[in-house]
Amino acid sequence: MKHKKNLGHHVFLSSYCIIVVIPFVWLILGALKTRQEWMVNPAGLPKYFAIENFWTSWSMVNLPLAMTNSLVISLCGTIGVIIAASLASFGVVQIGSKVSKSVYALMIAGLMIPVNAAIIPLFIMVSDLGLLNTRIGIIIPIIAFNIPFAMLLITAWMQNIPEEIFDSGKVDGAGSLQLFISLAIPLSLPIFGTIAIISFVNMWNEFLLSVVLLSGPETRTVPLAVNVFRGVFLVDKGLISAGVLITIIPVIICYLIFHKSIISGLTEGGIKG
Amino acid sequence: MSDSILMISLKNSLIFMLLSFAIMLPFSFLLANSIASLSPSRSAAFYSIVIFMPCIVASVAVGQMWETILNRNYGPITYLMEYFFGTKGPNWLGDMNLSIFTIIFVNTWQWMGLSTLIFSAAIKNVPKELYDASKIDGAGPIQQMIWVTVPMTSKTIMVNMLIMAFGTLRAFDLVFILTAGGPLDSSQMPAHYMYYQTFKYLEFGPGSAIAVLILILAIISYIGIRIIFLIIPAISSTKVKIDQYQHEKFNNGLKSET
Repeated sequence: MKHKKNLGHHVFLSSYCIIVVIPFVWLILGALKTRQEWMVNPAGLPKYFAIENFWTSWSMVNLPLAMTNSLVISLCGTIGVIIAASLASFGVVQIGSKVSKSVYALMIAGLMIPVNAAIIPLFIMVSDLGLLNTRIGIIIPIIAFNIPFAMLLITAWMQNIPEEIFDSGKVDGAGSLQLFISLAIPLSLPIFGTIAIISFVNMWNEFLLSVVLLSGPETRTVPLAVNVFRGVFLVDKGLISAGVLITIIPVIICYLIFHKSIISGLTEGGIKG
Repeated sequence: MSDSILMISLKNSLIFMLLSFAIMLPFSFLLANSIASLSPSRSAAFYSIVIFMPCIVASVAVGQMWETILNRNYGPITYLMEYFFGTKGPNWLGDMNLSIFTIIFVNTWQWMGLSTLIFSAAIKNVPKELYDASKIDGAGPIQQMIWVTVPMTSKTIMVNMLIMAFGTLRAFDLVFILTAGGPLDSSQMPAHYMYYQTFKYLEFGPGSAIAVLILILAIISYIGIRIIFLIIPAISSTKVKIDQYQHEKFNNGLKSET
């Protein structure tokens, strides 16, 4: 009886998994087809593996440059988010007054504001500062938009650290900064890992900010490059698929390695938010 | 405000939000229920990894992928339809009445995993004793799901609805890639229309007005969903049972502490 019940669950879940996987399979198959084969046989297996598609799309849109840009932006952004959010949540947890609680509530309200509601004043600000089309001009806003979620998780984590640890540190004569560096940071390293991965993926995938703030080819990020494929390759779907596949693969590999912390971080944030 | 395209975009976002609720909530709940009942096993972990995969991929890449698949002239879907049924089938992205529903479908395909995972984490937290108690009262698996799991996870349902509502107001990447608001602005969404006004026509005034409208809509939907979930649990009769259980748990906790 129990076995029969589980069978139903298996059938349901695996049929949905097939729906999820089929587009990816089609993408891989499509990336291996030449333009002629796309015309005749768009759905089936490729007869001749056109590996050169990958090389063409890699070099024609200058994907290496886009990847470096994205990597620099996401790495700097991730480090910035962790520094800013951990300092802020340490303050919220340690001070614990009404003011710090309202600051926390204000930050969490930032989760609610869509990026596109703030994009126009942001654009004007960045262009007045002369930072349009530079990497630093997108790193700062991207940090700001990722702080609320990071703060939600880090504050929840730091509230669970027993008070006695900090008290004993105070008895030994440590200042606030010392408490933060030598106690709070080592104790919250696991949550920092989760946040680093989630914000890295978020920043790697960010499209609206980069399409507005970055316009030139020299600062193009990966999502912008994906958008450019259609303009450059026109109807050559093989090249487009190959390019999309190249940009997806690093994210999928990263996900398969770190899936545990990504999933736990997102679900925890969802339940607490 | 008298802009007809803005009206279309508002109507579209209403359809988008309601359809997301109608499709994603029950479907992801069922998926999560299945995952949770298989839970401590390798297969459950495998399923959740696969189901969550589209959320990790950039929505630009997802949009480009689906654009290739649904393409009128080269797409495999059109080819298969012609091969098996003899017709090319509907023009998924070029039909004025259909394009918004295609966008909703792709969006649902991409974000189903997030709500499924949030639901499954919540369902795993439902105490096992409640299921045993309801079994003694003679409830089958479906009754258990309706009268135990749903009320116990009502807060998570609210969180998922909020995520979907904000997702609707944020919907930009997929619209941009799949249809660019076309054909004839029939699949315009507020976020994309704002971008269009501001950075294509360089009309910063109307663009900012739409941005403010998006912010107001976000606040309205937040308050609205919060209010709905203040009313509903009061009606549910199982709340009594839950309260009783929590009370007991609290007492037991006190006892074990002393």
